[in-house]
Amino acid sequence: MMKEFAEYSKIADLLVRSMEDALSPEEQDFLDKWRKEDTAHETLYQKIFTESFWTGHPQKKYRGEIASAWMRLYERRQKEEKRLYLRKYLRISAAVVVLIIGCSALWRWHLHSAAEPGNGSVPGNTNVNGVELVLSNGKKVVLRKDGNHKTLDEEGAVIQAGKEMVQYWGEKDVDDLKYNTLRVPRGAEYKLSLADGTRVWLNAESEITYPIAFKGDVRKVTLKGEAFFDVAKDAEHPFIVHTSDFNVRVTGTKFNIRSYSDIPISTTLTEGSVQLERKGTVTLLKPGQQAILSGEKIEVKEVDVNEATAWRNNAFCFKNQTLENMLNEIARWYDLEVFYMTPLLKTLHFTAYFSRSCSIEEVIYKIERTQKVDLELKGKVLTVNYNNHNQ
Amino acid sequence: MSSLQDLFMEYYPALKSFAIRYVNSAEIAEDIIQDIFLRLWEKSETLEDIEEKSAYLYQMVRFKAIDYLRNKKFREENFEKYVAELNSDDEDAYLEEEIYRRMMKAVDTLPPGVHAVLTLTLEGCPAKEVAEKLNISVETVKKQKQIARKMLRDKLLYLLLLIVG
Repeated sequence: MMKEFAEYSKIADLLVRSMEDALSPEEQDFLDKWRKEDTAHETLYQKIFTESFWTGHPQKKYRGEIASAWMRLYERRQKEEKRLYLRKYLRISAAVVVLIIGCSALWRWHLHSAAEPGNGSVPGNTNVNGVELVLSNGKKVVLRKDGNHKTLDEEGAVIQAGKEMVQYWGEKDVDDLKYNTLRVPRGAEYKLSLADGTRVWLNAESEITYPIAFKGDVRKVTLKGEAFFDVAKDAEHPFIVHTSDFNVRVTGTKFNIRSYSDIPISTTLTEGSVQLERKGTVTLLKPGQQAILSGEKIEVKEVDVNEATAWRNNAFCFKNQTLENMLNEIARWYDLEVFYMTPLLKTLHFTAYFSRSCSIEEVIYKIERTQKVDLELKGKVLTVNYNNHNQ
Repeated sequence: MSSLQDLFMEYYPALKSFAIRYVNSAEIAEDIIQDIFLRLWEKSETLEDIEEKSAYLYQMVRFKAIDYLRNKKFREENFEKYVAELNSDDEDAYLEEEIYRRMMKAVDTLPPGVHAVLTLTLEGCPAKEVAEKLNISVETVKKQKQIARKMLRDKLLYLLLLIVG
């Protein structure tokens, strides 16, 4: 049966190309034979050159419902995933031991206050699944969901978690390295303060694995997604961030790493100095420089660091970016699915700035003002189409 | 996942139209296509390894359609005869859908202005109506059609535009 359909596919190809007048003599012969071997074949051949075949084709009406069909599929998939998730994790309970804490953090995060959504139906930073912390024994704790402070117990460290960040106070003289993992979902951001005082800001859809207290010659963490690091100075113990494509080594400095799967991995340095290691080669960065992995090579260029790390200033900053890249970022923050009516749309270029506190409706309004595209939001699906209003 | 989305977007209208030829119901056709893509999604398959994606997908739809018919409607006798008739229509059904799909795929690569004009034209709108719907002049409509002709350098399109005017 499969063989037959494969044969039919070849005929379809020949027929389309015969209309382009692009057949070799052998192919023409083959097609003529096909036409002759069955009257149904000849009928079809004649049919495709008639107006009514094209203007009255049944497939037409389904072209208009692709977006909603995809949304139905997506929602069904979500339901199935939830079922599987519940079955898997229902038995794990978070073991939270509440201690009386005498001390509190002496320093404050003086950046913007946690990005809060603008008023709208789909704001950013409101993923209800919460940020997930995995302890060294594998136990999972959901942070931020109820907004309450928790104190978690791990041997060798004191952990305090709240709505915006989790802080570690490590004990000296730990026996061996124990790791925790922090997972930030789409539509959220979070902060982490490590045992050595290093501060990490995590963007949506990111994951970091780190020791609860540092030991040994180096301080090593692993990152997926995007994070900004303010590494506590310690010249004798280099801090290394390990990502899927390269390692970043510093002693004390501020830099941003962007390691999402839909764009080339890059790191931007704002202060200090950074050493990139990949497959034996080392690249040095100075402040104001960005290293980006292009194929197998690492390219270094001067950038505007505010633009490259705009997310930390609660902003989106796109300069002549493709629509695809721009909407991927936006989708991560607002936890949406993006759907393009035509693939060519993805390559349109945009320059835009907006605050991450905007509601998605405001963002859509701003993008539509460029008159290049129409955006329609239904639930969590954003559909992109050409702007057909003014031709 | 996004390449599964691309695949869905590319084949959905054709597969739905194809399925309806067998099961005669839009809802059932929709279920069949959903089942197929959910399975692909679960397995994280994007059919990258399969060269004849087209044949594979239609084949899956047909398989499920026959399954549905077997379960729902026919007693053994009638069914076999029905399937035999269907077999001879497979090729026709497939070709009618695939040729339309491939053609529309080429149309979709056109830039926005041209694309809009051509889509409406292929739906049977005469030039004046196209002009009205898009808020442009009839002259512009004619110009866009010429551009389409040049861009696709395609005898079919030339033919089509000749037919459709």
